[in-house]
Amino acid sequence: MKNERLRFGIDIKSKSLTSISIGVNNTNFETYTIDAGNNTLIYDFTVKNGVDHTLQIKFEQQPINLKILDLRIHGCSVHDSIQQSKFNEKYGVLNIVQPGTWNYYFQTPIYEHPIWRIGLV
Amino acid sequence: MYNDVLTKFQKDYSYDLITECFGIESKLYAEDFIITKSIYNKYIDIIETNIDIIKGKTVIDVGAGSGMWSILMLLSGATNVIAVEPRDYLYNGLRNTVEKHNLNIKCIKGFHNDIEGKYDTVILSGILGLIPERVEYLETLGNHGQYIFIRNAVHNISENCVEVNLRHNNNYMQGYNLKQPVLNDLGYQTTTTLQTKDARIGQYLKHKFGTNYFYSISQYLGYSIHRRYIANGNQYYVLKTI
Repeated sequence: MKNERLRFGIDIKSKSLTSISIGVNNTNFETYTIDAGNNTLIYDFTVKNGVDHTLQIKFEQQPINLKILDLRIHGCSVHDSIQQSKFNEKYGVLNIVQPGTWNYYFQTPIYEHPIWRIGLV
Repeated sequence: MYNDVLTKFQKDYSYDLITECFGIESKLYAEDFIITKSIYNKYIDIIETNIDIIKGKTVIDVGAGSGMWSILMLLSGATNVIAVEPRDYLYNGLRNTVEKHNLNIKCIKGFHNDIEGKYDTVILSGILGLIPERVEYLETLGNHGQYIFIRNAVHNISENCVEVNLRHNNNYMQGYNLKQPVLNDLGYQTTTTLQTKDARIGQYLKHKFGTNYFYSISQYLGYSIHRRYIANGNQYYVLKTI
């Protein structure tokens, strides 16, 4: 399988200064500082094998009061499929108020994905 | 690489078009963009099979999206291309690319009803099923084109569509048959799902025109079927209006 370079764009709204970590498949975690207000984070990852993957965002630093507004891959919003992500069922998927890991499941290759492949083709 | 047109698109235009449409977040994809087998197959199905209604013709591409296929039609010999697209980021991305490379493509920001003038060929690639008044719309296109190219026709496109109430800029309106990603891009919020789609329009058309209703619709409008084929899971029709 050819390596596929992916670029994720994540819009997060926070009520306070905090930090989060982003990774894929429990690897390549990078830490980002989140300011109060709206933040856009860019995270790059190269898929080297497999079809099914998980983008993970770890929230560990208290206090946590965040909302994930949008997720894009290659600049294209995943739209409603963001609702299929999982954080903590008790508290919902997009409003984050306690420590944990937010998971978004996706499949590669992105450029051939039948549902939301990049809008170019 | 599969042919000269696709090679030229990849080499000269794809990077600019992708990054102009989708921004810095698409840079890696733009750098790595390749012509895949599925793109090549689509090129064969849309352009090469229909080169008689594209090469040397004036073409209007309604619902052009990023405009990739507008550029490919121009590279394949269309004399000039008009690309119509309502979404800001795609319209702006194509327009900037066209200006940068001085391409003979006119970009129009608008919906399917915003076309004016006469052309040799009207392209409806994957959008007819999004138009509720599709029979009436096809009738109006008789004033705009000698040929109407349709990819994915009346009866098989609507599975992912819903009939909804829409909220936009605090105004409520009724919308039909628009795919959710398109609604999101246009800034609409879905407030109420009235019924999962397909059924009503499809049943109405079948009731009015019979089971083989696309053929009957063509007859009803006084058009002839210039070409009809199925390829790679998609249905294609080329109607001749005169």
